[in-house]
Amino acid sequence: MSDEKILTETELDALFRDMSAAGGDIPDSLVSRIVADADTLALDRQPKMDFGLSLSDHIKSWFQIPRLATLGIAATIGLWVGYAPPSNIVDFYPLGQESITVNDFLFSIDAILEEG
Amino acid sequence: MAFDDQSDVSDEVLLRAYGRGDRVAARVLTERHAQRVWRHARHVLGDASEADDVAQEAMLRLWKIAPEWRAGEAKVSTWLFQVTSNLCTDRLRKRREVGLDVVAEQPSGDVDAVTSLEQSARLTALNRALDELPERQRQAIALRHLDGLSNPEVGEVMGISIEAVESLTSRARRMLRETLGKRKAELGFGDV
Repeated sequence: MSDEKILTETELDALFRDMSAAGGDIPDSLVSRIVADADTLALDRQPKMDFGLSLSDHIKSWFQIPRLATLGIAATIGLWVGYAPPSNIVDFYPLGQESITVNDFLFSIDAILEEG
Repeated sequence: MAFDDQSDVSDEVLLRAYGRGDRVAARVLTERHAQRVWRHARHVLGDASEADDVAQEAMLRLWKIAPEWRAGEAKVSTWLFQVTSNLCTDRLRKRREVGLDVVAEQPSGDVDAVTSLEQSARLTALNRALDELPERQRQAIALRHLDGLSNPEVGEVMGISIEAVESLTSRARRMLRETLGKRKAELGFGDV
């Protein structure tokens, strides 16, 4: 009994080949949309500036940078020497030419503190 | 990363580069895979606009997973086919739930009018016959005979054994031969 109402394997394969060959090319507009999606996601992933850090976080971040840390230390030492210098530090001002402004300022601060 | 220097770079390396922000890598991956993804969607769904949506969604999922992609876990092409197949299956199920009868579109080609009409009739008939197949059989046939994947590759995409692939395609082929055999003469196949 012959299979007259049924395609042969060869005939079916021919149909598959026709359909595969007629697949066409992906539209350029679709390619553009796919690439645009990729670009958008890539931009979203780039790190942003975070302005929500607390003040202490900001200050800590300064001291994570070596040069600023050095500057901070130098500033601290400068304030210490200026306000309450150790006795063995030589005063480089010529004798009789003290900084009246600074001493006056310091004396007035002391006066205010004594008065309470 | 220059666009022209990417021919020797693997898909995995490109995807991880994209995950770190290299947009040129995404262009190369699009060049390599978008066409196949789109054509698979067209073969399964038979509708150009649905195929466009599925292809764009499949590639978008690839971009999203890029930062988490683990080396050696899967081939990018296989993963894309899996995602595309699943998206197509979802669409086919929705179609059947809604009772939609989609008439498959045929792309135009540079052939003469007679050949074009005959070819168009054949492709329409094949699409209709494919639409009558159970989803898994349709998927297997599209991957194997329209997208040109080997049986092991089809098995990898569908998550089944090679024997299961052969069984699905064998049953699908039998059904297609019987369905289309009723229209043998009008499809241009003469009696033997």
